[in-house]
Amino acid sequence: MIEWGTIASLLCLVLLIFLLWKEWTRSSRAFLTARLAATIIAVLCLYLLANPPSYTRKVEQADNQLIILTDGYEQDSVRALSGFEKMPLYDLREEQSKANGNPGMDEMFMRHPGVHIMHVFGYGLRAHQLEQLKAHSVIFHPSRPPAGFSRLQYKKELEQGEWLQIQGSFIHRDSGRVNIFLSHFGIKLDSAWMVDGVFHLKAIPPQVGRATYSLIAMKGKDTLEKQILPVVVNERKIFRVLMIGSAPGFESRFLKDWLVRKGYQVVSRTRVSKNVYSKEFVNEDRVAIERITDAVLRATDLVLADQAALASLSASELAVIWQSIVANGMGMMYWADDKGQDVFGRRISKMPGGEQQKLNLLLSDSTGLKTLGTENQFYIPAMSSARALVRARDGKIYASVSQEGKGRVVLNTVSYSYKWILSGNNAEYDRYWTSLLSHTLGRSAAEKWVIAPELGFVHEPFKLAVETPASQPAVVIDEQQIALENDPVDPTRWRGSYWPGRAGWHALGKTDGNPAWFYVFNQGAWRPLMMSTRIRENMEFVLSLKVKPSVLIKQESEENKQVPLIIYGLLFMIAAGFLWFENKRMDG
Amino acid sequence: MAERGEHIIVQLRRGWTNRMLWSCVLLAASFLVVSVAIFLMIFDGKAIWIPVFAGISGILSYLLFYSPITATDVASYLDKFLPAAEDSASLWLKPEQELNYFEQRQISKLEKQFPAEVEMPAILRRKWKVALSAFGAAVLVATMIFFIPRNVQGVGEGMVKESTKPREVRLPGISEVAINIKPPAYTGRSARRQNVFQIQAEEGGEVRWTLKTSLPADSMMLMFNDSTVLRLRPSKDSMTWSVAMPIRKSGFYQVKLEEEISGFYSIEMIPDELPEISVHAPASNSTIEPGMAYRTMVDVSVIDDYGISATSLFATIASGSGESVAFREQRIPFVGFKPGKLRYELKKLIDLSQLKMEAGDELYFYISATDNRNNERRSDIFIVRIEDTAQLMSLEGLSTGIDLKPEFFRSQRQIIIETEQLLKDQGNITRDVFNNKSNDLGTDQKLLRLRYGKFLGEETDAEIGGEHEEEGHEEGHEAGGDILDRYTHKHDNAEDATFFDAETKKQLKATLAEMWKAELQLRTLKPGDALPFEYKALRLLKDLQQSTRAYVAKTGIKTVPLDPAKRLTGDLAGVQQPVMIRKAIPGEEKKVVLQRALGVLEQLRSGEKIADPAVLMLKDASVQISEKAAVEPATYLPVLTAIGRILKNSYNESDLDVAGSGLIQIINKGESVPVKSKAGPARKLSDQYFKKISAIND
Repeated sequence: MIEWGTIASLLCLVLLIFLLWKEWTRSSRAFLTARLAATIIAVLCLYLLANPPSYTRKVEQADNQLIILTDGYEQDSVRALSGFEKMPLYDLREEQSKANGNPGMDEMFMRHPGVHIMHVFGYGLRAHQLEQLKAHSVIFHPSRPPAGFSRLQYKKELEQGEWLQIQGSFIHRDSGRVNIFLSHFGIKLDSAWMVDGVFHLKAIPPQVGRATYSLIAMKGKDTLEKQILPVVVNERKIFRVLMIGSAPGFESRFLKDWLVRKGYQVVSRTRVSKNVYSKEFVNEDRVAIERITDAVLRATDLVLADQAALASLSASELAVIWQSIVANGMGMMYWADDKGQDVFGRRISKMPGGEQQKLNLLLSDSTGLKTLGTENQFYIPAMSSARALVRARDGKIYASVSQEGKGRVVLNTVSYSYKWILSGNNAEYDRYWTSLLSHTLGRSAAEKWVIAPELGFVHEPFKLAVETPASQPAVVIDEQQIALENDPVDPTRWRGSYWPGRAGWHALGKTDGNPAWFYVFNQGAWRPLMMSTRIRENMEFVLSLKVKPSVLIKQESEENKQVPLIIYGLLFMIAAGFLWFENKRMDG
Repeated sequence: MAERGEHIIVQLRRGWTNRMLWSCVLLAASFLVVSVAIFLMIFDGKAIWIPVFAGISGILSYLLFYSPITATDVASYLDKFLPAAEDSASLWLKPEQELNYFEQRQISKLEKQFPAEVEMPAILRRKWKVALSAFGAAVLVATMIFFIPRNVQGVGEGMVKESTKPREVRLPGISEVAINIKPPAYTGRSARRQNVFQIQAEEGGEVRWTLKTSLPADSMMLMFNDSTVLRLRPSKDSMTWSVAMPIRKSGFYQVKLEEEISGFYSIEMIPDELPEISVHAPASNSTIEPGMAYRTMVDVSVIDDYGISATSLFATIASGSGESVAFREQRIPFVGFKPGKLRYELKKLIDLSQLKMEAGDELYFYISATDNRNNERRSDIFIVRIEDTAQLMSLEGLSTGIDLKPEFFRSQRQIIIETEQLLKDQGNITRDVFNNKSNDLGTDQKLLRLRYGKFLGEETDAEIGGEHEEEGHEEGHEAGGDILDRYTHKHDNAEDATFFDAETKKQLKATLAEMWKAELQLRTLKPGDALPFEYKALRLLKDLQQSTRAYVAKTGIKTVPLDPAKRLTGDLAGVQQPVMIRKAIPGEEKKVVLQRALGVLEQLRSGEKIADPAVLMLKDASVQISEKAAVEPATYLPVLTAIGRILKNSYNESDLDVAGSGLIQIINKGESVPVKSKAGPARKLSDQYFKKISAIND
């Protein structure tokens, strides 16, 4: 079937050729060119009237759209938005300076009631502002994040003797290597070269209590950025350790000395002969430990034993130990051997390959240890309920931890770690036992406050959350009582918020008496980091929107448009009119 | 004709242009010289940039000085400034055919009267002068830059450092300070005078404080860190106070004027070091082999910080053996030693025969050096031993019957005896006989070497015992075969399969090497030179033999008499249960005090009021710092001062920084300990959950 368009064009072509021929063959040659042109125009208009062309035009309903300017917007990127001239502008920075704070978006909705689509330029909106735009379409045109720290992760609250680990990234667009320093009172605690924009610093905090370290990015002798890094170190708790040995041994002897050197309370009971025990009490008064009872274990945080010693305990003693682990969160580590039955029913395997072994061990954070020579080494087959603590490079597990109720049980098969000390590698021994015992100790059940955001600023809200069994927790910050709201689902959870009026350290008075400290930054601190974070948040927000603004825009813009037919009609009239008039003139 | 005129103009133009170009070049050179000198000398730049500088200077001077001179320019200049040109020089440039008659006449007239020399335009001369003087100045500047010491910046830095060092704070009542430091005479240093309280003095030096007060004062004293107090004696008007004290240790002190106490001032003592002796030769234990000269060379260097007054060598000669050892002591001076210098390189040739030493004697010696302060230091003891050939020859060690090797060793001894005999007979026998005998001995030595070589798994030599069966070696040969059969493992690798351990083999190899050397000398008809090697081989063989023996001293032990009634009954009734109770205060405890104090400083830094326990923490820390400050006043005294001000509550930001950095330096590094990280609180909900789960599992 032949389409209408084709028929029309064929007819018009025939008409055009006929008319042109007629004009050409006319005796009068006056206005020939004009006549020919007019003929062509007339036929063309006729054709277009019959077969009007349509085109897709980007019709952006500019009156529905709004440009929101935020910090760091770039004029060029605004210009790159087509149709920007028609869109109304809402400069959030102006509003901010007017309100002297971070106003919500109510003002905007009032001023521009009809907007559906918002183009956000710059680093983006704050969380509470985004919250208000949830039902709308937001298109985010992020600026380049500013040079400087862009990500940062570290533990703000540490226990004494715990490593402070700082990981982060830094945006540096010029050439040259960037060195990141961590310093306190002008003394360097650690430094690292930035590799691929990422850095990793590690130090044991020198202080007990609070400190504001400086995190400094340097290129050569130029300081690129210097920021404050608050760190709280809690004074460490002295743990009580009970060691039960079936025979004197080097491993337990060296470990005991190490624990004593670290200031622990150590109670040790080692069998030296039938019914003869060597007992030792370090930093501790003498107590009766002939039998392991509830009283012995009451204040104990850690039990270190060997398998044979556990096997020689009576069933009631084992039950008491197990109860302490499960109910009171005590940690236990025991050295396993392949003789006899493990009281806890755990399997170990004998390693093939001779009596002498060279182990290249990895700790749970995948850091390697120096080669350790052992004898008659076993390993632990992987178990679903246990997590590997010490592995070898070939994947064999030498120590594993399992959560048992509130406490933890660590199974250890390495009984020659003292060889590190004998060969002068005290640091390796230190690392090994610090890691192993930290995992055995597990976590303490303290009242824990979650104070968000991680880096908060003055005159901005802080969210406080706590899980506490207390019936009505009272919180005081800066002598100001904070009212807490109970979680409707979980009665142990409480929430509140706080607007700090000054920068610096703030004490959060807890129900248990010890204050929790948090640091409030001045406005403008950590700006590059905050801006990078804000860009990420805005991008995530846009992704989470149900109405995808890009789809919306596309639908609208793909509307077909036609040039009004009247134009072709008029053109036809003019062309035909000219031809007619000219003909009349000639006639006349 | 005009040709000559044109020629004149061309000539002039060329000359002037040349002059202009040269001044340009000179100017460029002066730019270059100065910029390169500054760049290279002051900024330590790289020479590769010199072409860039050259380019820039060239362009610069071209822009400044160069302007092209055309023929028209020359002509118009001549018209303007040279009367002889009669305003007609430009005619020369006109084409000849365009000249009219008068012009032609004028030209020919001009050509005749035109002077041979035309003065250079003033502007060119000026440019030339400027360029010349610029170059001269540039060279001068460059030379100055070159000769200014390279460490211009260093000097500058030092000055800055000096000036930024906090000025000493004096008590307001003290108007003048004069401290005279008189180093001890032996140092050879002159007395000096300073007007600051910080003191650096030589050990034993006398320090005299002379302090003037602005008003008459009642008392003035110096309080030292070891809590001694030194009262200053006033002059008649009670305005000039003085006291003197010898410096014996480092520390710090305060000035107390009436009731006012100043800050801390450090006293740094420069200790007097003992002389340092290093002996380059001989080795700590050396042996003089038989046949070697009885001489040993002693090569020593002695260094001291203020000068050495005496150095000598103390020798002890031990002669005899067993119970009849006799000792003689002797002091041997170094010839040509003149006291007073800081460094000596001393050499002494000790003739052992002059010391009446004989074979088997031992010389023990040490070097002693005394400095100007009569501090004496002695070196380690060095031993020189003359090997005793007589002992080697003795059969004492061999007759014990433990070892079956003696048959072998006799041969080496035999060779030595025969070599000595040969040397003795040298005068009585003919040259040919002597040579033959020497060669024969060489053959013997070779055979012996081959036999020992078998122990090491060396190639079997079919020659052994073949045509060279000589008396004295026969039995050795047979025994050798026996031993070989008995001791060698006949595995694939003879080297590894021997009975000997690595050390023995090494020694055996050394023995063979000595034998080889002896054989070489014997075969080259020099039995005298072979003798030391023969002896050494014999000694090594002896050592080999002795090395397998061990001496165990006889000891008497007393044991508790056993009670046969109790034995093996397994009765542990009387055995006490060992109990040990100890209090171990960890070394960290001291550190924790400092760590806590560091936390308190943070509180102060954030402007918080500190409570009494925190003040106590700072006080505890300051005790430790003052201990440190007494040892290293230069480093820790400012820290102590800062802490003092903090405790007095009159501090500023920099005091906190100084105190904080000092504390971190003392803490050095926190110690890692196992920790229990915080989790959520014990929750009833999860407890309940756990209980239910346990109940189901049970």
